[in-house]
Amino acid sequence: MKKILALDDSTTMLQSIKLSLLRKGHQVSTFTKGSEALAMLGKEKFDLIITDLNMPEMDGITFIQKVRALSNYKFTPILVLTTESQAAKKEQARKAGATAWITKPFTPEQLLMVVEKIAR
Amino acid sequence: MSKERGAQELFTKLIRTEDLFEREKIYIELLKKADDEIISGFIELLYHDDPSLRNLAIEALVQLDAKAFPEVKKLLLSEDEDIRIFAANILGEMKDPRGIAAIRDHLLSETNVNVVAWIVEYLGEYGNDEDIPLLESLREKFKQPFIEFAVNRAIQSLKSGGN
Repeated sequence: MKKILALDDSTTMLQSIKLSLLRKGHQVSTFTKGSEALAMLGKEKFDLIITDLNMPEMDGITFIQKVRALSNYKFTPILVLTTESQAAKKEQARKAGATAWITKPFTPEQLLMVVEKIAR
Repeated sequence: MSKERGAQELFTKLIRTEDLFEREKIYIELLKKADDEIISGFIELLYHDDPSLRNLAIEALVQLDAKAFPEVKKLLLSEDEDIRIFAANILGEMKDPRGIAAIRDHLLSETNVNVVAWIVEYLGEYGNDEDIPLLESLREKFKQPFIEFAVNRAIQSLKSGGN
């Protein structure tokens, strides 16, 4: 069981991620705002972080940079959710500290496969 | 006495400044003017590399509401999936009822799953029972697990009167 934090401005996407991961016994906390997710990361330790890129208030790249600035999240895997048209942003995300990405839309099986791979 | 600044000058300063207070001041000044040039300026910012500027533009276009509607609606025809998502976000958040109507109409021709999923989410939130047949038709059209999930969730929300 992994403790996972998921951040996306779409509540539909968050629910889909949550249900997929819960089925495998993972514990999932969901957030629609980067600032709230960061506050939670300051209080609790998570094994994996999943984040969208395009979000209001705080975008995914800024969020990743802020996570990497937290002393206890320097090496925690960060999975980025991207769209087909965001090829350039994948590189930006990698430079900011992302570990891997998955292209939306994805099936629950595809998500679980990536999660198992990066959150060992 | 302060000299009135032109839209071009304001956008240039908005893009260049790193001072958040200055950025906010310019943003408010632009919103107060809110003419066609300013609407075009905010639309251009949606394509900017800096996500904070893109987000500012989304926020502004939502605020500009009916004034920005015609130009934002055109963005639904962009070839860029992300721009169509931004357009759906802006139209979905607008108070002007034409916003929701525009994304509802667009759903009939949209083929990208991510754009469709956003529109479905807005219809679940701000739509009505009459949207259910349209939402149901998407299951067959896309045969895609995420759309199936989004549609079920939106219909459930509409039926429970959660909008």
